[in-house]
Amino acid sequence: MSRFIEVLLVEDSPADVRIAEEAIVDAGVNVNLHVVNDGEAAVRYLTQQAPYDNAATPDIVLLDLNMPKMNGHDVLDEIRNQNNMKEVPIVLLTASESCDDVEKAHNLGINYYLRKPVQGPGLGQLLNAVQSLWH
Amino acid sequence: MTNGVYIHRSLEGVLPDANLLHVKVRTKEILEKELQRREIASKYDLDLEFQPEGTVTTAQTDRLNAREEGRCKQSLMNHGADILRNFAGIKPILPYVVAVSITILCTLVGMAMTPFVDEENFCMLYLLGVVLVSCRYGLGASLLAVLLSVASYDFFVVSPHFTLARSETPCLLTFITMLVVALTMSGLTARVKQHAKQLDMRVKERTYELAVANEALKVEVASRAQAEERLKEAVEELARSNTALAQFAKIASHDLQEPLRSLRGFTDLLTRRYAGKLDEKADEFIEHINDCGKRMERIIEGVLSHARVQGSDRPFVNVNLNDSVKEAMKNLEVAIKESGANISVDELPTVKGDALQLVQLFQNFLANAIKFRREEPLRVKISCAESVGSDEMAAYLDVDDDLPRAFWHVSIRDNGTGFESRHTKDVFTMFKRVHSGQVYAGTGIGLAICKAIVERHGGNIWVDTMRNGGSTFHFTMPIVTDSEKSAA
Repeated sequence: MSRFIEVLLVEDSPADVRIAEEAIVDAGVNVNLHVVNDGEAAVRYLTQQAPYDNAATPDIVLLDLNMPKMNGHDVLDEIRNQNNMKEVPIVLLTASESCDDVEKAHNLGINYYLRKPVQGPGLGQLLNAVQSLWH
Repeated sequence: MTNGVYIHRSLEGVLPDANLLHVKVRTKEILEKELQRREIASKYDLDLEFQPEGTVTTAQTDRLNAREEGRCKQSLMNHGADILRNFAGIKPILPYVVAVSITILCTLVGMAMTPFVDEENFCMLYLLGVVLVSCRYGLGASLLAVLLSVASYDFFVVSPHFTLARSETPCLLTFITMLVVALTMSGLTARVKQHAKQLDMRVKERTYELAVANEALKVEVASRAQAEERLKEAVEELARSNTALAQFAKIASHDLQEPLRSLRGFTDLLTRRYAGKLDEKADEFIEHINDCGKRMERIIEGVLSHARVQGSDRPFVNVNLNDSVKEAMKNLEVAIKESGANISVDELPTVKGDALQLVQLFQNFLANAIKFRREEPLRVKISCAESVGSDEMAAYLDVDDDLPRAFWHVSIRDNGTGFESRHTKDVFTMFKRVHSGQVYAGTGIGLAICKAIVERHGGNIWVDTMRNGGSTFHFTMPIVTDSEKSAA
């Protein structure tokens, strides 16, 4: 039995959270899913500030681009230099067709991007790949 | 243009004898319009009035005269000079005073010289006096001078002195000679004066006409400058609103896209997990939701793509259109195979442009041809010719200017359904679909994107078509010279 992988989903839309949850179920991977609803909370979580003092460093971050308070770009800018965050794969979730948005995120250090809604084999393959790292 | 008479009242004082100006101004409308604005009229102290040619009557002239008094400085000065000239009747008396004075002067000289000079010679002195008077002061004064001269000559100069007793032939001869000289000279003088006066008048008239024409020209120049300014502002405004619209389309589509994607996510989940598990109607409803979602997605993608073309600032590079067509055909490979389309492509030129957009251009044309094919096998022919702007194109575009440079004229001809020729402009408008949606799926954006792309490349787009007779889409692109190519 492989270990559960820690996934942080940063997503403001409840509907999109639901879809992601279902996609994870479909993927059949053992996941501890943590959800935060905006960029600020994401930064607090990843830097283990209250109320996320005891949060485990995630194995993968699914980061929405378009969010209130801080958007995905701001979050990337803020956390990519944190010591515990240098190696963590970050996947950008975007509804945007714009190459510019993805390119900008890429320059800020994303590892991969998925088009929303998150469903089908894409996320499953990704989670499986992450899990295989921990075998 | 109407020719007309402009009465330029403020300048009338300059021309005491001619209060009317007959200036033909080609641009009556402009002048009138500008006068309505009052700004220019007040700036130049102009008061212009338009009257159709030939309707200016003497009564009007008089009325204008009366109204004009004291209207402007020039007028006042002239008026003052007239008053001075007439003051105390100086004007009519002066010549006679001069005539008398000259005669007296001649007499005094004659009397003083009598001891030394032969007295007959003095008649020449008097003749000189008469000539001088008649040259300067007209007939009346010169006649007076003649009479006085003859009398004085007889009375004071010729002996026996102080008597008019000598009435012999030489004296009569002197009188007749002087009379003839006086008449001739004063007649000549009068004519010369009259000519001079006429000449002066004409000079003034011309000056006046010129002044008015000059004013009219100033007004026209000002109005043209204004029109140009307004045009520039309008163009800038248009560019601004265009950018704003593209921006709006982008943002709106973006925000529409997010909830739509969630919606599609859930319907996908429904389909995958519940298809066949609910009743038949539920399956049908899910399918409809899916179809509508897909369609809306395509529309939003279209709008975004249109906005991207307009808002794009990717620099132009040399693009070989043959490559663009090849790429477009590769993207449409499946559809081309399925439809069994036969696409033939002539040798195409290299233009300056956006490679991705030019692929999209041909792709949209080809997709359009495939979509609107008929039963018979689809044939598409892409050809190109050099053109300096055909009459046909000029007629379509409502331009009569000489097109500044040569264009490549690319045609995409198909044997598809075609459409009614009254729709030839509509097809390039967003969301205008000339076929009913039931028969042909489509978003109505493809050709609008083509138009945006062609226009961004400095060309024009149009179509020839007939219902059931196929369509030929045309577009133009500026020809790139070899030097421009190497500069890129």
